[in-house]
This record gives sequence, C-alpha cells and structure tokens, in this order.
Amino acid sequence: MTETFYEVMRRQGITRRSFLKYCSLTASALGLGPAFAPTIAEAMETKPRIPVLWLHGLECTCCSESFIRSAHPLAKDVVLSMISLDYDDTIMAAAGHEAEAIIEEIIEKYDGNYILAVEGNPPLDEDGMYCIIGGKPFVEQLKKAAEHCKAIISWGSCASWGCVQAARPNPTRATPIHKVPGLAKKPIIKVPGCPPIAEVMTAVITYILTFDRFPQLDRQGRPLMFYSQRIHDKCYRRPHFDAGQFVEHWDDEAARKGYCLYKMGCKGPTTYNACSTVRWNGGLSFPIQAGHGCIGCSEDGFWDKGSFYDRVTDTHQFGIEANADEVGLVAAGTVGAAAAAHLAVTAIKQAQNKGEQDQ
Amino acid sequence: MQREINSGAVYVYEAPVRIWHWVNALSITLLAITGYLVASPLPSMSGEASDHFLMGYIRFVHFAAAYIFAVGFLGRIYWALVGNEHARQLFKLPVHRLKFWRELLHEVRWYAFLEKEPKKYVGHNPLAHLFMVVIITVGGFCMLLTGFALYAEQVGQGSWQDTLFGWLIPLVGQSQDVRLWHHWGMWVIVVFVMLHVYVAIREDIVSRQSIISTMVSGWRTFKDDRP
Amino acid sequence: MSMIQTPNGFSLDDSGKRVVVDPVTRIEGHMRCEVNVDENNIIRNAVSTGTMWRGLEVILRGRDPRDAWAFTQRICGVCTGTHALTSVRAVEDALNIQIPENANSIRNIMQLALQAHDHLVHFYHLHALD
Repeated sequence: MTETFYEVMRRQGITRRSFLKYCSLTASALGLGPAFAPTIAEAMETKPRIPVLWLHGLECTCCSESFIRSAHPLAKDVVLSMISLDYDDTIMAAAGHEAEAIIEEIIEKYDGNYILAVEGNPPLDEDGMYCIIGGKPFVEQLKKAAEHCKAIISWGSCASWGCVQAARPNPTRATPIHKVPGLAKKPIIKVPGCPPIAEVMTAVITYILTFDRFPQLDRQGRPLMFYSQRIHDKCYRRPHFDAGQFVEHWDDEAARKGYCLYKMGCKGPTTYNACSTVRWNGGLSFPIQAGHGCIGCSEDGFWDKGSFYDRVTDTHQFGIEANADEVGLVAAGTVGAAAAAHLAVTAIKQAQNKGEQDQ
Repeated sequence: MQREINSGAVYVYEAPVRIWHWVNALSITLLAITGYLVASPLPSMSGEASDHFLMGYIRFVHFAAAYIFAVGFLGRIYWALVGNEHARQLFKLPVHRLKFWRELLHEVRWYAFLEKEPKKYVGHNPLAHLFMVVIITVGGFCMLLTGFALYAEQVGQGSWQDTLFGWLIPLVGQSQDVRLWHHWGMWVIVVFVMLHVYVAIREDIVSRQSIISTMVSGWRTFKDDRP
Repeated sequence: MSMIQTPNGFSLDDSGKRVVVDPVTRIEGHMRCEVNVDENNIIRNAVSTGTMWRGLEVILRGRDPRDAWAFTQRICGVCTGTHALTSVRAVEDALNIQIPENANSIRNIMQLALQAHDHLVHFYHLHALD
C-alpha cells in the first residue's frame, strides 16, 4: 500500500502544526467551513495517496503550466504529497519506452483505483493519426487507460469541450473526452478553462482525495463550487455595468478609469468560471482587471462564437455568417418600405374603385 | 369559425383576451426597446458609478415586462381553455383542412391586389391566423424559454428559474448562443409587429369588417351583407 | 553502412545502433527522436518528429484578424505570450499598422516578463530533473 499523505508530508519534514495549517487553508480554498479542516486532516492521515495518470492528447500544455503555478495548495504539495502523479509527460523524469512502461504498470497495479486526468483530446480522423504517442494513436492509449481507471478528470477546455483544435472546421475531428465513442463509461468531471485556474485544479484534486468522491457537479459535469457563477456575477467592474459606464474604445478615458468592458465584447456575462473571485497567479489579477475583456475560454465552443471583440456576435448557421442587428435592421427597413409601397398601391386601388362606383 | 356571417355584430374577443392583447402590446414594445439596449447599451455615463443605475433600470424594465408577458401568456392559455371559441384560435392551426389553405391563398392574393375584395371572417383571417400562431404563440413561447433561461443565470443555480429553464442553455450550446437566438427572436417579433400594425390599420379601412375597434370593444361589425 | 533517401530529398545514414525516444517528455506537445549511433557512440543521423498536428493554420483561415492572436497563442502553453505578440505583429504588418512607442515598450515588458518566468519554470519544473 502506498503511504498516506500525512506520512509523506512528515517524511518531507513538515511539522504537524504546518500540516494542520495546510488543512485549514485547503478547507477555506474549497469554500468549506472551518469544521471541515479536521475532516481534511483525517483524510490526509488515513488515506493512501491516489495514483494519477495524467495523459496528454492534442493540447498546448497550458493546463499543466497553470497547474504548476498553484499557490494554495502549492503544486509541489499536490504532486509530491497528495497524489502520486505517476505519469505526466510534461513534468516526469522518464522518457521514451520507460515512460510508456509506467502506464502499463499503473494500469496493472492499480486496476480500477487510479484517477485518469486527461489534458487535451484525441483526434478521431485518420484513425487518430494526428496525435501519436510512443508510436500509437493517443485515442488508443486513452481508451485503454479509461477502461481500468476509477474516474476521469477532463482538464481544460480541450478535454471538456474540444477547444481550439475543434474550432471550425475541426481539421482533425478533435473530440472532447465525454464524446469519444467506445470510451469506458466512467464518471467524468470537467474542469474547463484555457487553461483552468491553478487553484481550481488543485482544489478539485484535494476535494476528490479528501471526500473520496467528486464535488457536486452542475448539469454539464463541472464542479459547482467554481463554475456555478459567471465571471460577470462577481466582477469587480460590475458596478460600472449597472451604472451604464462602458469602455467604448481601448484608449478612451473610460478604459483608463476601469469601466465595464461589455461593449468591447467582454464574454464575462456568458462565461462560468471563478476568475473574478479566485483570480490568477495567486490572486494577483485576471484578464478583466488587466483591462481586456473575458474571451469566455471555459465555455463550450468559445472559438466559434464570433469575435472576442463583438457584443452582438455573428451567427453561423446553415453555412451563413450573419449579424442579428444588421439583418434585423435591414429586414425592418425593407418591411417598412414594403408597407409604405403597399399602402400607396392600396390608396390608388381604393381611388380607382371609388371612381368606378361613382360612374 | 365562419358561420352565418352578416352585417350583424358578433362578440368575438372577450374582455380578458382584449386586455391581454393590449398588455402584450405594451410589454412587447418595452421588451424590444430595453432588450435592444441591453445588447447595445446607451453611450457611457460619466461621473461616479454609485450615482447611476442606468443599465440596472433598463434591465429591471426588461425583466419586469418579461414577467408581465409571461403571466399574460399563462393567463391567455387559461382563457383559451375557459373562454369562447375564438379564444382558442391562437392555439390551433387547421393545417389539415383544405379550406384553410384555399382561404389562405385567397388572402395572399387579396394583399397582392389580385382579388377584388377580401372574404369576411369573424375571427382572424387565415393569413393572420398563421402568423399569430407562429409568431405570438410559438415565437412568444420560445422567447419565454430562452429569456427565462438567461434570467436563471443571474438568479443562480438552484433557483426555480434555473430548475425550470436552466436545461435549455447546454441544449442550445452555451450562454452566448441563447443570447443570440433571443436577440434574433426580438427582430422577428419587431418585423411582425410592424406588419401587424400596418395590416390592421389598412384592413380596418379597406376590408369589409371592423378590425381595430374589435380589439377595443370586442364586437366584430361588418360593412356589408354579402357573404 | 546503408543510406536511405527520405521523401523530402534528404539522405540518411541508417547504420549502427538505432535509439528511439518516444515520447520525449518535459516539452510542450509530443515529440519523437530517433538517432543512429555507430560503434564509437557517435550519432550518425538524427531525426525528430512532432507527432501531433492540430491544423491551427487551417482553423485560422477566414477569422477576424483581431482574434488571431488567441488562436496562435494556443500553439504552446509554455511560451504562450511570445506566440500572441508575434501574431499581433504579423497582423499589424499585413494591415500596415504603425504602433506607438508606448505600445512597443509594453510589449517588450510583456516579453521580458515572460522570459524571466519561463526560465524559472523551465529550470525548476522541467529542466532540473536532467
């Protein structure tokens, strides 16, 4: 049996006091009450580290990059103490066939007990040849690992929705994890974002370890504690939105004053994520605070929802690209003109009829 | 629908239907104006944020009008069940009747100046009937669904709005998609309202029956005795 | 000694011991390296292959040029900012846009900040293990 988290932490020279502090910090990071700190402590003292296989498909590694910047808890605590991250080709020491052998070993040793974390997604076109790992298509590796895992974590928008490689026209038929045909039916938790917030990633892992189950999920399989509200709902620029104070140009006075970026195409009102509360880089800032609108990176298909700088974005339907306001105004104008013309003809006809009756 | 038609007046629209029509007219007007302003807000306000609540008021009017529209819609469904025969017209379209299509064609030809005179109808003429059902009943229902789904986003998870309508968002795609379809719906209704108002006034003058006064008094009167 | 011709017109020395490393870890994306080593342990030929393709060039076609940076940025999650800045510059070149001196300074600061942080990441998270 692998060591418990507590044993590993003690072995690393962490005092009991620091350990308990860490537990309360984690409890608050998860939005749990102080009563949960002992629960976390108990879980850490008694439960063995969960083996995690972290696979990479079509992706840009930004999820891993985000993950290693986590401050609460620190990524090193997660990787070294909480989970037993047995395979992650971005930060593992082994390479080549040694790395591939680890996957086989984990699947055999912890059959049905490891967590499969997937970053990126498999391309399905050309039998998956657009993403080859160790000489085999990634989709095969994914299916095999999913067959024997306990649960799947879909890291980032790639695994959750498809992300950039699945944007129109999706040349490789990149497919999000939950839509891969023939994948073993395992519970899937989606942690979307491009990348997801580091603290969100580590908190999700902590929750799964502590309570031995997924946190409460929404309709689409995202953890409610981080994805139940929109960026807009907790945005610090929200008062400017309600007041009707908007940035109209990137270099106007309103931009300098930090007004709402709604008119600049900010997708905060349509994006479920924790950026406006948890923020990035240890709570330092987030895109809107830096002066740029949200691009909606944790939403399904956000690449294909029109420009990042438009409020009323174009619709792509039936192969036509159209803007509702432009079409609507033209339609209303045409109908108005048609009605006027119709009225004129009606008046003439009426006059003619009258003339005929008079005669 | 079209029994003994003569110049004698017929009581068509009962009071609840008439009230609903005018409440609807008002709420749709407010919804379209405020909805457009939510998508394309007015020029930026100057001064302190705490001194203004412009966008807040615009959105409040939108939501209040939407609730009135929704309650009206429910009330109208209730009245379709208990009201007179004409109150049910908006909820059924006799597409299986050949007569409906023949009269529809006649009505289209009348508007295209190809018929000398229109037929007389106690209720809606077939063309109006078709548009009412598609735009007001089906269209209004779609706007209610998408509108409440969007409203549920700000009320939050677990609210009754979310429970009843929240499922729509992942079904359509994502929040931005629902917004777009709601916005397209607004333009469809705006164009319909333009047509509706023009045709109502025109028909009131040139057709053989009362139109506008009927929606005020409820009585349909006819200008001649011919069938 | 055996020489083989690649489809791209290169000739490869395919003699000696063949060493394949696939996947190469601690990089962005997926990579395969193949070398042939002779009896004196000298590499006679080396081939590296990126083993994933997402078609970002295909996806970018027909997009709003203002959005291009975000797509390009997703080439790599380790050096994101560099791709974004370069893409913005490419769009500006194509549209003949002159940027003010301040904008240039801001971009330089961004680039240097990225460089500083990338060194830390690369050393402590990726490189240190070697």
